Amino acid sequence: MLKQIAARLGRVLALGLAATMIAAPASAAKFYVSNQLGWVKPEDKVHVATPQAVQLVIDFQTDGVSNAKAIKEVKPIIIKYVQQSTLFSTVSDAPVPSGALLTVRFNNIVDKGAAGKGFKAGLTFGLAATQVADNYDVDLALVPATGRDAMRTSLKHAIIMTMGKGSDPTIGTEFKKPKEAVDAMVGQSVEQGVFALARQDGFPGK
Amino acid sequence: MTRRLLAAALAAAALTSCTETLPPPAADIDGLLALRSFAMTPVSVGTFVAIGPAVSQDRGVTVRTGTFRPPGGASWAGYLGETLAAQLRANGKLDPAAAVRIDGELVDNRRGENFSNGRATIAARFRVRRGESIVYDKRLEQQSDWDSSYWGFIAYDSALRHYTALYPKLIEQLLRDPDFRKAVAP
Repeated sequence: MLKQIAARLGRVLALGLAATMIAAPASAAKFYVSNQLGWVKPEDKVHVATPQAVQLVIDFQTDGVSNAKAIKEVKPIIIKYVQQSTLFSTVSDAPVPSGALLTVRFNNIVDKGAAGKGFKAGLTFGLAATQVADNYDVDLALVPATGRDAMRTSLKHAIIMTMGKGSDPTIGTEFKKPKEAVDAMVGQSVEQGVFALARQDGFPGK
Repeated sequence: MTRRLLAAALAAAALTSCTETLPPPAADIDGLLALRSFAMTPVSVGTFVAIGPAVSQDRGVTVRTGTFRPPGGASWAGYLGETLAAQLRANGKLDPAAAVRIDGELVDNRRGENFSNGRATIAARFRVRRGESIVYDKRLEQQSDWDSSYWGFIAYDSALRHYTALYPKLIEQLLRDPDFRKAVAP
C-alpha cells in the first residue's frame, strides 16, 4: 500500500507539477494523518497475562475491491504493529493450534476527483488550493479459538494530501513523506483496533 | 523549452504506466472463513491450465499502455491454482501427498474497458479426484463491472484491482459450493 498510495498521490502531484511547470513554480504537496484516532495512550493499554498465538490474515480493499498489490505492501506494517501491541505471543500466516484468527481489513474510499484536483492546482499555479482525502474504513475481527464467535471492532481513519496550501495543523499531523503518513495511519488503526478487541470479554489469555 | 519538455514527461508519467508483475496470491479473509466453516480432508492442488479461448489471454493484461502479469512468469491459470493453494495452506488443508486432488481449467478469461466503464470475466472448470474417481466436476464463473476513467493511471489501477479480485472470488465460490464440500468431506 505504501507504493500504491505513494504512487497514486504522486501521480496526482505529477499532474499538478506538470501543469504548474508550464509557467510557474511547483506548489508543495503536504501529507497529513487525521488526528481522529491517534495512538493508544499508555494508561488505556490492556495487559494480557498470558498472550496466546494468533493467525493473522489481512485484506486491503479500494472501494470494496481487494487490492492484491496493496495487500503485499501493507502486510509487514500490520504485522509490526500487532506484534508491538504484545497482546499475542506469536503472529503467523499459518493456523495456530487454538484456531485463534485475527483478520484486519482496510477499505480505502477513494476521492474520485483527486486527479482533476491535482491538475487544477497546478494549472492555477497553486492558487486553486486543493485537498485530497484518502479515507479508510478499518474492520478487525478476532476468533479467539475454533468454534467461538468472532469479536469485532470497526474504526475510521484518513490521510489527507494538500497542494497549494501552507502547513495547517487543523487538518492533522503533518508528515514529510507519504510513506511515513501511511505507516502512521496503519499503525494507529491497528493499535487502536487490537486494544479495542483486548478490552472485550473473552480475549484470549486475559 | 526544457521546462515544457519536463512537464510533458511528468504528465506522461501520470497518464501512462508500465509492465509490472503481481505478487503471489495471499490468503483471502472471506475464503478462509468459508474454509473454516466446514470439515474438509487435506487435498493437493494439481494442474491448472488454460484451454480454448482462455489460452490466448493467459499471460498478461494490458490496459491503455500499462501491462500487469501473474507472478513468476506464470499463467493466469497457474495464478488461479496458486490462489487456491494459498487458501488451503492458510487453513492447514494443503497436503501435496493427499489422496484427494483438485485440478482446474481456465476456460474463459476476458476483460475490456473504455473511458467510462470496464468489465472482466473469468470461468474455470474444477475437478476433484479421489484416487481415480472424479467426484466433482463443475464450471464456475465470476464477473466484475466497474467505473473506468479518462485518466490512464486510474483506468489501469481499477482494471488491475477488479480483474485480480476475481481470482479469490472464484475460489471462494468453489469453497462455498455444497457439492464441492461433499466432494472433499473427510
